[in-house]
This record gives sequence, structure tokens and C-alpha cells, in this order.
Amino acid sequence: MPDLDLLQRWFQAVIIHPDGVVAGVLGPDAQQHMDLSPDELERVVTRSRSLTAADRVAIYGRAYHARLTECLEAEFRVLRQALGDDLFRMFTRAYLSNCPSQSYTLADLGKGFPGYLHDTRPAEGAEGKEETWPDFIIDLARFERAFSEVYDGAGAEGAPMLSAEGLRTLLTDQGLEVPLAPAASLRLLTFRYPVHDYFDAARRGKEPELPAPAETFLAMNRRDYVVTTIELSATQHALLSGLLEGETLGQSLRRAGASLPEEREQLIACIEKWSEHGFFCA
Amino acid sequence: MRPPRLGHSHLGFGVGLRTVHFNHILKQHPDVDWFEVISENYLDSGGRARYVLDQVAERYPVVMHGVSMSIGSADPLDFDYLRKLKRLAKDVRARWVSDHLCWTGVAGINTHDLLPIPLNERTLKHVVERVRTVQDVLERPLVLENPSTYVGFADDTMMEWEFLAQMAEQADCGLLLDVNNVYVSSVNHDFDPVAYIRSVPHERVVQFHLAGHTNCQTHLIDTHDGQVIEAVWELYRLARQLTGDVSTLLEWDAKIPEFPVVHAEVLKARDCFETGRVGADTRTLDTAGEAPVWNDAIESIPHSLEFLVPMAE
Repeated sequence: MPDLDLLQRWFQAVIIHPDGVVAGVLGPDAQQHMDLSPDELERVVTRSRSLTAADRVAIYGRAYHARLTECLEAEFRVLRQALGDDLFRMFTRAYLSNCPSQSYTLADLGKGFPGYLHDTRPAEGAEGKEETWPDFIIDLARFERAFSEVYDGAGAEGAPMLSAEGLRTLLTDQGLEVPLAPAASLRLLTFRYPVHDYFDAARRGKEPELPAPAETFLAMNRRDYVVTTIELSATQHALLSGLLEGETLGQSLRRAGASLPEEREQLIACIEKWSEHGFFCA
Repeated sequence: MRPPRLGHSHLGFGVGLRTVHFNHILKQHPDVDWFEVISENYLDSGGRARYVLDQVAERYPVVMHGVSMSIGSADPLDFDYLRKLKRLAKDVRARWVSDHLCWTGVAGINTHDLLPIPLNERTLKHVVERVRTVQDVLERPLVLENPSTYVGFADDTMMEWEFLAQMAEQADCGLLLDVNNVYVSSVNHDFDPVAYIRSVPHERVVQFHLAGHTNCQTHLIDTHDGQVIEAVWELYRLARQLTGDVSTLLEWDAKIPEFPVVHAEVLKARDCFETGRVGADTRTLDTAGEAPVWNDAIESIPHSLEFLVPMAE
């Protein structure tokens, strides 16, 4: 009678094996816990009137892969569209094999997927030239994961927000050396492709072409439980980065290279606009 | 002597709170007795899911039903997870907290499935000790559900109902009797579901679950994707006779229809109890007559654990 820990490690190794029960039983992960051949399965798992032990264990194996793949398909819907079902499932299968869930929540399942795609990125194409499409795929995965995290993460709903008028009052009262309090949901993202346009088009039911590379700065935020993205210039990105890091408005303006009064005014106008989008708490 | 249902209220006839119904529930405030939520979907949520749960908890009794406690695992209990459960239960005034008699993973991995444990004295002792620990942390009795299972172990020395009875007695916990799971497992393990229903300790049954399943001819899979079949209604009628009033909940987790359809299905349970029969529109299929699903059967998977997907805005 194997002890519970051994039995469970063996059973888990068998059902999470990507190539089915027989391969799972013979695989090194299962074999290190129990030296058992597929013919000997009934020493551990009983058969029923209708199913062999292997048939019964296979129900759990199929369920494991189907359920978790379904979750990744739901989270990375646009990525799946971009890759096509076969390629997407090839990636998810490899991801699940290499990075099995270690969290109590399925919300964490896709957390490491963009990083996995990045770490396993093919370096060269068939003709020895570096392929760039993997960068787009990685960007798209990062975008969809960020979208999920902003959607279900901490937000500022219910908290008083800084309005454009409030910002002007603040500047009048305290000048530029005042820090702003970003909403908890606000994220700054940098991509090599304009993935937000691709994502929007795909979510509207279109089949967009692979876009040309273009360095893209985005602010992603949630207000009233709706996630939105705003494209930023490099200067705006620098300004918002500073504010998110806790710098004062003056410090962030300097970081963004705004030294002339009119440059500062332009960027403060941007902050007023962002305030209307709920970027800052009052 | 323990009071019936461990002293918990009879909440009536509830349904599982699912994201596809959020808008309907917030706008229509349907006349549902209570809601059950998948605990893990709300433990860390700071988004709309948590907002909706808070709104629901203002208006309806809420029960928390977990899928990741892994009470039967050889791994240590996750105390951080338990503390979060306790906090959420306090926040939403959960009437009780339930999970499953199962393990979900080992060696730090979570398979997100409800895996069966060997039913013997050794695992009974292990589970009882862990239930006691969980109850100490939660500061309330735990309620554990019988899962649908697809394998038995050579090490099994007792039937599941014996295990449940001894576990409930020794750990002083409650039971969530999933009548559909009893039926599914009875076919998969060739036992008599009536004997199961008659043998569980009825005074410890705090809640019933009802759901649909898929008949794969050689076995049944607990898919939660359709109506409750007549054979399960019959078991439910028997269970209700033996337990008296017990809160009843319908689970529908795949191919989820409009909310009124789901609600109507659980209200058949009320009719079932009050009139002794379910509605005339219910399919009357016994085990032999249950329609097998051929093409889908291979791909049928035990009920999907509802996963929060960002809604297109």
C-alpha cells in the first residue's frame, strides 16, 4: 500500500502528462514514485464493470488538459485568433507542461504565459533571418494578461477621483512640487507593436493583419469596471512614469524634458485630460 | 446531539452565482432564495466580480463553495488561503463555507480538479485532522461535499458513504450532499445510490447540490451542463424525506442558459418536495433510458471551474 504522498505524486504525474495515461505511467515523473507498467495499473487503481483502470485514469488526464486549455483560451482570446487553434494549443500545451499551476486560483494560470513565450522565443527563422512575428505574439500575450489583471485587480471605484478642476486647484494651492496619487488600476505598458489596435479590431469581430512594428506606449486603466487604454507619446510616457513612481509633478515634468513654460503647459493639459479618465485619486 | 443541519438555516432554493448572469441579477433582482459563489473567484478580486458579490450579499444570503482547499492532499494546508477564505466569509456574511472531499494537487501543483482519495482508515485519519485544523482557522464548521469520481483505489477499504459518516462524526463537520454526484459515482463505481443516500448521516447534511451530467455510455461525467435527470430527482426526493428541509442549490457551469431557465430548474426541487413530483416538462429518463452522448463523450470533462473572463466593454 503506497503512502498517500507517493500515491498522489504518482497519480498527478500520470494525469498531467501531455501524451496520455500510458506515456504518463511510463514517464520518468511517475516512475520515480512508482515502478509500475501500464499492465499493472490495477494494482493501484481498480477497474469498473465497464472501464479498465487505464480508461478511468484517462478521464482525469483528458479533463486536466481540456479544462486548463479552456481557461487559457478564454483569457488569451485574441492571441488564439492571431495564432490559430493548432499553434495556440501547441504553445499552451508546452506551457502547461513546463509551468503547471501552483495557485489556488485559475486567475493566476495565465500569469506566466507571456514570459514563457518570451523565454522560448525562436531566435531565427528558416532562412537564418531573425523572425519578428514572435515579438508581436509576445506583446499580444502581455497585453491580454495586463487587461485581465487590470480588469480584476485593485481599482479606485468608490474612491473620490481627482478631476481636471481639482488638479488646477491643487496646482494653484501647492504649485508643481506636489505628488499625485495614481489609481491602483493604472498601468503603463511598452510594446514593440501597436497591439492595442489589433486587440480592439479582433474584439470587434474583425481579422486584422499583423501590424508593422512600432514602439508603442500605453496607459491602461479601469474606471467603473471598464478597462480602457490610451496611447501615449514617449514624453507623456516619461511624465506618467515619474508620477507613478511617486515623483512630484515638477520632477516628472523635468523627467519628461519639459523645461519651457509652454512645454509644461502642454503636459499639464495632458494630465487634466487623464484626470477626466480617472487616472488619479483625489 | 447535533441539531439538524448543524443548526444552519434552511435557506430554500438557490443557484450558483455565475458571471454570465451578473447583469441580469443586478438589474432584475430575481426572486431567488440564496446564492452560492465559487470562493476562489472572489478571494483576490478587486474588480467587478467582487463588486457584484458585495451587491448580491446585500440582498441575498450567500454561501461560499470552494474548489482549492485540497483537504485530502498530502501537501501542507495553505494557511494564507484559509485566512483569505475566513476574511471573505466575514465580509459577505457567508452562511457557511464548503469545499470537497478531494485533493486538487500535490508537490505544490494545483491540477484544478477534484481528485479522489483512497477511502481507508489512514486517509480518514489524515482528512479528519486537517478538517479540524481548517475549522480552527475558520472558526466555524466546515461543510464537505461528496465529489463525482471516476476511479477507485486498490487501497479502498470502505464505501464513500461510510467514509463521509465517520469523517463528519470524528471531525464534527457538515456535509454537502451532491445528489447528482452520488448518482454519477454510483454508475462509475457500480454501487447502489439508494444505499448511499440512506446511509449518510442525515442530521449532518447542511446542503444539497443538484446538477446535470453527461452519459458516456460506459460511465457518467459530472458536466453541470444541463437539466437534472429524473433518476437524480428520485434520489433527491428520498434524500429530502430522510433529512427534512435542507437548502438546495442547482449548479449549471457549462452551456449556461439564461438566468430564468437556471432558476426554473432549481424551483423544480421545491415542486419535487411539495408535490412529490417534478414539473411536467422535465425529461423522465431512468438510467437505462438516459440519452448517451457519443461524439461529445470523449471531450466531455467534469464541470469546468468557472473562470472569470474580462468582459468585452
